[in-house]
Amino acid sequence: MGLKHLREPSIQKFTSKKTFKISIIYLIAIGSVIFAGLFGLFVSSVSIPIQTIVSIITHKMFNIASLSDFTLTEQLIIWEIRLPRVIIGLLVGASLSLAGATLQGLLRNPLAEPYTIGISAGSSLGAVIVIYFKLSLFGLGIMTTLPFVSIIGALVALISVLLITRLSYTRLANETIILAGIILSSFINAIITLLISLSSKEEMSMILYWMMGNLGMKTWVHVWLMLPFFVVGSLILLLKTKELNALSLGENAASHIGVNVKKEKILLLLAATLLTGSAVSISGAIGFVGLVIPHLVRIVIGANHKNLLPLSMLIGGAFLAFADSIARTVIEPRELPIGVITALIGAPVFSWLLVRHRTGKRGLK
Amino acid sequence: MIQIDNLSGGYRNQVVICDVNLHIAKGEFFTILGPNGSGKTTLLRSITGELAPIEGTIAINGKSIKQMSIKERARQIAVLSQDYAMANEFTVREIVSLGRYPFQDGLFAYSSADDEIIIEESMQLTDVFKYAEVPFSQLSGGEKQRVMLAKTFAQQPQILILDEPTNHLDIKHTYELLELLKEWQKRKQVTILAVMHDINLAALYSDRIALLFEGTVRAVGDNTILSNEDTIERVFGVKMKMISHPHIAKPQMMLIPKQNG
Repeated sequence: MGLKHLREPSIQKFTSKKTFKISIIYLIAIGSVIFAGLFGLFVSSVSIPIQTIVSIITHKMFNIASLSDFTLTEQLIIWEIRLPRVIIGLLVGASLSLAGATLQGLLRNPLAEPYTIGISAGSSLGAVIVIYFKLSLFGLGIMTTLPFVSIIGALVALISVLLITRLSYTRLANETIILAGIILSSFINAIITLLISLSSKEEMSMILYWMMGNLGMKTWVHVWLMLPFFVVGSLILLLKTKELNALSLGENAASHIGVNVKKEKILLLLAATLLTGSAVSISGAIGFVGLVIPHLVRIVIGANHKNLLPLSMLIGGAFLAFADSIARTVIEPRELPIGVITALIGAPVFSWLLVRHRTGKRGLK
Repeated sequence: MIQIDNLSGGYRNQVVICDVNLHIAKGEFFTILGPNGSGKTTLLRSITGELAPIEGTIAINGKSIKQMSIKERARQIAVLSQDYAMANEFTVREIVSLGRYPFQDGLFAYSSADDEIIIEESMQLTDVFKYAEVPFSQLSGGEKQRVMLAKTFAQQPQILILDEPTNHLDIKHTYELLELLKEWQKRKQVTILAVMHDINLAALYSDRIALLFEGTVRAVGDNTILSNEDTIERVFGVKMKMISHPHIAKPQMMLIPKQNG
């Protein structure tokens, strides 16, 4: 050891090589978002050529290209049906996977995701209550009331988890947050099951359909409902990547380098809740995106949240939009619940990653 | 530098340390020795501001730590402990970079060119520069501890707090770590405040020592306070024999086993 003041010339080359690798990964991620988007607009029972799709969208957005060449049906299918659905798919996937990446880093637990800490359950309960009691706030109708109540459900769940944790321990210990989340989830799920068993056949199928997770019947209203939560939640998280990095080293270590642990922790949990709540309220509970995508990205890019968070968003969005296209075309004209596709793809991929990661680790030691 | 007056501290309804008065000068290597449960960790956590004092004050350069923000404290005090779990998927450079966190203000503040230079110097100083892009999980225990030390160097603190820094290290790594710290202390005039278990190491490397027992300071002074065998027996609960180091003027304490051979 001892004091060295050599500066090795190789480092400059190495750093730029690494930057190059990261740029390529970002390009791939952005490319897959574009691909998933176009794929979602293209595949369906009614086939519309790609040029037509692109022309219609550019016209609607920037008022260029003439619409007279296309039928009204084509315009309707692309602009009013497929595009909102693709956008919702991208937003929901990005939200869930960003929330998952945040919670895994923050709680320092590889199993942490919106489901394990009870946020999803709270959000589902909100939705089920709206359907069961046919709530319609401010004359908005059930389907528009649902997202609001659902987000409130997510926030109530987060507050309950924090309260249970706080009461059982002086500080917000990670393991206690997860335990409290699991306890709360099973309690809420019991209430949901109770409501389902008390409901009429028609309500029951509506609740079950919603709970299976679904991106069908989404309109621009849903996009505008979700967008503010998405923007606020993801902005907070993307600006807090340094704090997340610090917190991944442990809370004591984070406070020693000047992080206000309690404040940041609550802010990060709140942002993750906004994202999850708004996603679940629009699309129902869709599993595996929040858990698997961040792990996948972490294996490729490492744990630095500066890259992990944006890449999880991009890949998560692309994955969900793609999975949705599969879900609605594979047994046409019927649709599969999207949760089936994400879990059918997610579970094997995750198992494979887990095995590879563990054996890889052993190999290195 | 660090001025601790009438400090009492502890948790909810349990006072752990009582009426502690310590004045630690700039550039000093100051060690707190004491048996388990004597209040060493409570004292350290009070100084880092993690634990609010029940009574009394702690001031750094005349400014009470209560009036400092968490970031402001982190610009002056760095802590090296043995707690580095789960940092595994980060690279060494990413971990060391975190030492610059307290100096990056504002929402969009990322590392400046100056930060990069400080980060690389810290890695070179602790000899982990060659592992800059290697994941933390692939390093040995001694290397991991040096990475954490590089992070504290990157903080450019005036005060470095060491919480049993050599606990998991073998004798070579212990020696290297303490030599490096000593060199750094001399060169940068950094104040080092350490909690240690090993009396003999403390005698070799500390400028001054405080003996903590049942939450109060029983003796403060240079390493000659360790030569008092009665005090040592009262504080640590075992009889030890003092001898002089054969090469340098420092006391070393020898245990006397009951069964001889």
